[in-house]
Amino acid sequence: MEQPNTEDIHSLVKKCLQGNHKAQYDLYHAFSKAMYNTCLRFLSDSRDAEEALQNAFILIFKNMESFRGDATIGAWIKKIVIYQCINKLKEKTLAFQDLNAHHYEIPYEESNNELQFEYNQSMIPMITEAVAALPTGYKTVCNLYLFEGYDHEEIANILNISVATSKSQYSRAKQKIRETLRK
Amino acid sequence: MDDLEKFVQEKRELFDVKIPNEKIWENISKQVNAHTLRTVWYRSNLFRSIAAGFTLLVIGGTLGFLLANKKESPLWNIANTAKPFTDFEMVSQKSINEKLFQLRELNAEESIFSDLQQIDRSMEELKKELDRIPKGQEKIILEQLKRGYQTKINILDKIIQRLEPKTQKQDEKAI
Repeated sequence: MEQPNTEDIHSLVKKCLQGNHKAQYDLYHAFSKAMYNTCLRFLSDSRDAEEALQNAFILIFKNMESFRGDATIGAWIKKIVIYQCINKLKEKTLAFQDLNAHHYEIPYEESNNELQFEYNQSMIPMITEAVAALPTGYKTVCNLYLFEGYDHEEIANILNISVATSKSQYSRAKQKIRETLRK
Repeated sequence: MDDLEKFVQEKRELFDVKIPNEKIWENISKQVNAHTLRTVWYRSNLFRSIAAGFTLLVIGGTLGFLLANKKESPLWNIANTAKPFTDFEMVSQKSINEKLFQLRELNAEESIFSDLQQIDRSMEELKKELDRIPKGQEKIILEQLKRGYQTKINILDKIIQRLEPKTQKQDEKAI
């Protein structure tokens, strides 16, 4: 489905609030592909990703009236989807704090410029694989920063870690991605 | 921003290649529509309860008061009471119209408007009473009509409040 413009989205949201089934379907289809890929990047398992996507959209439609319009509907949906993924990771007893403790001392941006590449479109699958192969803690921070556009302060809040930890995890993640691409 | 970040930002959409299974929508749809039906039923019944309460309050209160005062001599003159009432009615009706407009903006269900019309009909009945009741008793009806307008405004406020987007809940984990 072609991405609807702001006016269409506004109208879809209004209709969803009225319980319009077709509008719910259209809104879901406007965002489901991007959000499914987000879930996949976080969870690395298609079944988990499908479950997170499904739970997130159920929550979205049931709580549509709490969307106040101070963020875009896309940002609101993304936030809910990401929280579903984080919750799912937490269910799998991922202890962010524990993972962080080992790498807390790694300085931010260390070694980031050691390996430079000429990035091009053909490298997209390789980058995707390199991110998927990261340890969960690195991967989560990397996804939030690199793909979802959150800053380190926001990531620290979402994951309940320090800003320094978020930065060091991200730095380490990028280093690992570059190492994988080099192979 | 380094090269990797720049590249991902520029080609961000190309990273989203996987298509979700259509079954996901079927599951979402089932659960959401069950919830929507419950919400519509709840809203509709809540409104009917308020409206029914209001109608009973206005008609019952007025008739009760008239019966209780049937033998008393009329003390009020319609000329003294009708003018302030007309002003009050005008202001109230303006406020009601604004709130009805707001309700339309909030896409309130049509059943709410038809229920509101029932209240209007009850108030019209009260107005007709003005011609039938003994002279001097008009003020009682006018007072009840006044109360009716105020109650109608309160009902509309409550419905608007309920339909307006609520403050984002901290809970629900994700929101």
